[in-house]
Amino acid sequence: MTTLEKIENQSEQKSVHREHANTEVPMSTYLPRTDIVDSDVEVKIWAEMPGLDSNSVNIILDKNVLTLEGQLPMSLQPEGYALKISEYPVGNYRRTFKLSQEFNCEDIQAKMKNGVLCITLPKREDLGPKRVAVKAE
Amino acid sequence: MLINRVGNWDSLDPFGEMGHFFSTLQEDRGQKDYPQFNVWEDPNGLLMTTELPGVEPEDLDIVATNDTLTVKGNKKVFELGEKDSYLKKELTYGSFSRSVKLPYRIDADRVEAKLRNGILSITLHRPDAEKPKNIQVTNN
Repeated sequence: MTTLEKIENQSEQKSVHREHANTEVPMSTYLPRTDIVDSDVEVKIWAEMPGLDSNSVNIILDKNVLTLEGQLPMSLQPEGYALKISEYPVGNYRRTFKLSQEFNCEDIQAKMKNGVLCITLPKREDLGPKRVAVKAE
Repeated sequence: MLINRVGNWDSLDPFGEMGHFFSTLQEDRGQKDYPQFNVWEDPNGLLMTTELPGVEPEDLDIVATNDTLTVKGNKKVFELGEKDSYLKKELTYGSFSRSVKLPYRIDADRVEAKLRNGILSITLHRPDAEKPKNIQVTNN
């Protein structure tokens, strides 16, 4: 059973992973690289958004669609310097996930550290597996 | 003719050389080197930036000589619990190292490195003696 699935909507398809990006196009929107780990009680999403702090990240839950957005601050362009070599492109981030019914959406937590966003989606306790006792006759 | 002996004028452009050096490295291995650099310049020297999300400052080792810069480090993997499983795995972990040749000599004693929000910025100062000089043209 997949607990999270990527929405193949138009906005998702327009974004690309940055390794396929053209470095000459300024300020595109990229898919942040993501790890998703499922444990018994929760699902954790790690999304790499280097250059961003917690103030530049938006997390929106609209019904069952979770959107992660990162807006790059303009100060990332160093003042007075001219770009000579560009090996990696710089841009904003956006990625959406469709959540199944098994999460407690009231209790989603997000933390940002060293350019990595970590979102914790707790699972609803009432959906856990239940042991059925077998009575001896 | 002097121009012919020099060959290609591009080879006089230090950044042309550097770009060539970078691309040769990448072609040789058939994959991109890690980490990838953006290189900026101002009259005082170079600013090299690279994205290292999830890397702690204590896991970085930066060594500069007069004409090379080496960035080594380790990105620690998240420890998974026994019942944890990956639903998606796109991030990479482990140790990395990359050395690049600089386009001109820098002052190895005055290299500054900052790691902020997963971006490493290294400032390399160009000694005055290495800066381009304006040559005065005089009338005879």
